[in-house]
Amino acid sequence: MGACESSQGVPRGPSDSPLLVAAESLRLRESDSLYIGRIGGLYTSRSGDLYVSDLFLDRVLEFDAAGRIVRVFGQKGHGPGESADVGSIVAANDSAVAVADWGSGTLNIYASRGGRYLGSAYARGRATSAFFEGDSLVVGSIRSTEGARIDLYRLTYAPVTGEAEWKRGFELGLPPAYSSNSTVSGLYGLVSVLPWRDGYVVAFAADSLIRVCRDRGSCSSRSPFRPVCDAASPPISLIALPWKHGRSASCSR
Amino acid sequence: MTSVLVALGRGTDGSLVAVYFDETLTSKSARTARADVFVSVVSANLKKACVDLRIPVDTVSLPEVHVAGDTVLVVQQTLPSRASGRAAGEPETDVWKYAIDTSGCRWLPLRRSAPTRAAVNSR
Repeated sequence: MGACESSQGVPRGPSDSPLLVAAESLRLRESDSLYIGRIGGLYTSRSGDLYVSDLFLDRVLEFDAAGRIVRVFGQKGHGPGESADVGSIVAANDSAVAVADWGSGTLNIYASRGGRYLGSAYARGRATSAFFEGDSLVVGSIRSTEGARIDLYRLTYAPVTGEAEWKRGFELGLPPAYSSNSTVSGLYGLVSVLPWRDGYVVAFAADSLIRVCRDRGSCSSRSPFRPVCDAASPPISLIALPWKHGRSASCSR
Repeated sequence: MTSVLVALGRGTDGSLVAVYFDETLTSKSARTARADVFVSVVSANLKKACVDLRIPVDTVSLPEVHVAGDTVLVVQQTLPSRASGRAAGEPETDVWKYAIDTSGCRWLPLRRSAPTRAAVNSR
């Protein structure tokens, strides 16, 4: 069924948009025991599998391209591989799936094939986004209780032992919308960190700026995460997105 | 109304794809909200953007959105209609995939803010 063919009050695909083309739609095939109580996060792998975290049962369900359930990652609890308060699926590739447990402030790592629990690491905050670099993860998290700052750091996990090694990261000051309203970071937080040339793109949910952080270049030999802080090579560029609509004070530029 | 960036990804041409909610609180007591969903694309050189293309969604519940290359995925739970034959109270989960085509974009120049040294500190 194409998105434009829906007749049950669900979204319809655009008909006159020059930019978005409704490619396809599908209904996930849930069952009485394997279902999504409340969607918490969403991620797709390069192979097309869909990962959905369930806030109700604190687990992650993987669906194939046809909407069939492939496997389940984790469950509610406080033991290894379990989640007290499952959050975002921060990254996934052919070898591993990283899921944030916002209840315990950790990242749980599972094998993509088979769903075996590989290990976990303290995320130093509320991890919301990450990407893989080889066998490592670059993680973005927000610490609203520790001065409300952002961390980016590297996690090297050992698939056999589950041991994790945290390496040096760097912090970004929060946008004014966060500092003026302490609940903003808890509600929205950091939305994304992406690899970008010799650095990263970092974006917060509650403002309209995309930050391009350069932290490799001349400093990469000392630490791949050390920011370039000399004036000749500005560490950060702020790109302001133009808006067509009026925006609230929380996203003023 | 509050605008919230909910997803960010890289297009296959190196561009940035950003998805925003324009949220409006519908019930303070129930903490419920509705949202209009928009997509903006920033060129790979960060000098121009094609902004604010609306994604059609059911506004009864907030969807989850993910950017995967040149595709935006929207997942939303809805309660089935009586005619569907499903038991009442059992939500259904639908996934929509939208391909992004920037060939018809009207590109707007982006402005670059001054770098802020104080914004970054090594640990």
